[in-house]
Amino acid sequence: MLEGLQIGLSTALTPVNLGMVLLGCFAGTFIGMLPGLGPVSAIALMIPVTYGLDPSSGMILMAGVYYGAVFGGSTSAILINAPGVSGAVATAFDGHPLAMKGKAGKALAIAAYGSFAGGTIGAVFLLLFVPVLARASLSFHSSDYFALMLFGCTAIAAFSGKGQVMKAMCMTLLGLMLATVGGDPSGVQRFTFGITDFYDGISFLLLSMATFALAEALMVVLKGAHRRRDNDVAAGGAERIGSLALSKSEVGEVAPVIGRSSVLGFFVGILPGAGATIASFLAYGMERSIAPARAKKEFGQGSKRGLAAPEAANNAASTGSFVPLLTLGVPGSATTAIMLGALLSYGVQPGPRLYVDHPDVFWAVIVSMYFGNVILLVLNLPLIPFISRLLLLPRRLLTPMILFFSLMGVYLVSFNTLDLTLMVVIGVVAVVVRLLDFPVAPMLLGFILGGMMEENLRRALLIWDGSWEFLWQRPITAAIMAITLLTLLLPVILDRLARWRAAKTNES
Amino acid sequence: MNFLSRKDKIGAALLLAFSLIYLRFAFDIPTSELPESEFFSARTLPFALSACSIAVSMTILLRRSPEREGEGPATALRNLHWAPAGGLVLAMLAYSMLFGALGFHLATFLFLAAGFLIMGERRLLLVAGLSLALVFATWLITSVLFGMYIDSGDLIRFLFPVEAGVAENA
Repeated sequence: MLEGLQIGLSTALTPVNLGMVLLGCFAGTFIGMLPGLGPVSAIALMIPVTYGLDPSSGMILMAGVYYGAVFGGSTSAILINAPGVSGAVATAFDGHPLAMKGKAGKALAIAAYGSFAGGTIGAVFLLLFVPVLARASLSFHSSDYFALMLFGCTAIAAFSGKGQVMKAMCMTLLGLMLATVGGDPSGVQRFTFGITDFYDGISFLLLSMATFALAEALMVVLKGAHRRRDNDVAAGGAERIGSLALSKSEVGEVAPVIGRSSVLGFFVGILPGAGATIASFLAYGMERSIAPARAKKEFGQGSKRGLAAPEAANNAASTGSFVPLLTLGVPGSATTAIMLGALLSYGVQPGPRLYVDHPDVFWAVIVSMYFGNVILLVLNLPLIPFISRLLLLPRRLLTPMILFFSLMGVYLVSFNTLDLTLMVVIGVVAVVVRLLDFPVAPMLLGFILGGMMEENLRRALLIWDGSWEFLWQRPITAAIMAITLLTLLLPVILDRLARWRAAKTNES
Repeated sequence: MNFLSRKDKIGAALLLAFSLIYLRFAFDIPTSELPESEFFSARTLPFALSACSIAVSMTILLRRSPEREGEGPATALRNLHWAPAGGLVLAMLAYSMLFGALGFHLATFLFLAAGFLIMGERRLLLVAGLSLALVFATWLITSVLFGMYIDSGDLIRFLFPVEAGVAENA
């Protein structure tokens, strides 16, 4: 591990990569602060920039953007009660009331310290867990990989919100179907309709930009958020930030909360599909339930515990979500799904072999995550009063600019105007899907995992002479398949159990 | 229950339609002569995916909805701002279609200016100035700084054949 750390430090500490972390954190904070644009959009917007970089620098830049966007989302949640990301919704519960009491500086400082501690604890855990898991998963065969991909697809669906499981499965299947467009592994063309531009399939960049950056910008316009006078509120918040300093008693109050929430957040983040949002709500709920009676009353009114808990948890969960990506090649969230797509486009296959084949990328990402946290704390926090003025930019000017940068991001990679038309069409479809309350992230996950799933299934069947026995004959495959089935059935069983209990209560 | 009053049913119906069309075109995929295609061909996954998505969408369509959603599609759609969003979509489509003819500079300027106007900005000087500044900044970064090829368009090539050619070669 020490040797790996050395590799990571030597890669991450080069001037170029340090610059990437810095740039990523700043760009992420800017984008994440804009209501409607979260880490997924921020990373999607950055992908064209990373194409010109080597894999380590590209991943370091994206990791910085990820952290910056999470932090930026919390800033807008605190200042204008508009969480830029779903993971920052719980932050707004107590962060905004604190800002309304004239303690925006304190709220931002608690958020930054909570994020820093959560990220640090997460990075240490990542350092300890990932190499062990990666070594263990080196014995995986193609059948195990197929089972893993299947697990990745079903897990994100099963961990979706209440009543969303079937919808998420629909979207995962849609993503898998879109992944079959273009040449199959043996070179046969599918669903190309003779259009040569489709021979290489639908571009991952195009799909992610259309479904997130473009669709989110259009959703903001559709919902009329561009007409709200957020600017006035933001101006008030930005100008009345106040002191960023915390007293000793305040530090003493939030420190244990941050510790507990970070550990909880990391382990929740590891679960595919769970992510920062669930972690932040769980941490908030846990702290509220264990808080003393007097402190409990403050929750929702500007409680420092209520602010520190979700902030620490969502950052630790962001770090935790890298565990399945780096060790198994299965993304745990939409953000890591986009990163997986970017790695694949570099020709780097995430998973157990990443640890062996690209140790520089593997360790540099882990080390740079820690640097990202340091930069957020040391550089971004003092600059927040200035950065938050970005919220003053009217949405009527910002939205066309976001649309333009999204379109140019795709055009500058393919230089194909057909891609622009396709992007608009997919963006409109994504808006319809969102209006129908179907989640978009599982579609992207299915799209990314589709190719790998087919390749591994084909190889497994070839090895097993066309027999499907590998599903129960190989212990690892069988175990993963069992977990997959359990993940799929668990929400149904829990739902039935809850209904049965409710019926029993009614009877009695 | 009114079918159109539930978003999940509409979504499932759309997916079912897509899956059926997908299945229809899956039959057009040529089969390979390779020996492994005996048990796994280019059609295998599309067929399996069609079957799964038809099953899942049918399940959503046929299941008894456990609870009413807070807001039906009609209410949700009524409160949306269709005009600016539709205008932006049309502007993007026009941008993608006119990019080749007008070239990056002119098409981008027109798209940005149209976008600002659609979003309600009425100060024409600001609209023109900001659009021009963004076009110039993007051209400076991509073409001059990174040396990327930016299409000057058929119109510019037709009007200034020599200059456009020299600029693109540079």
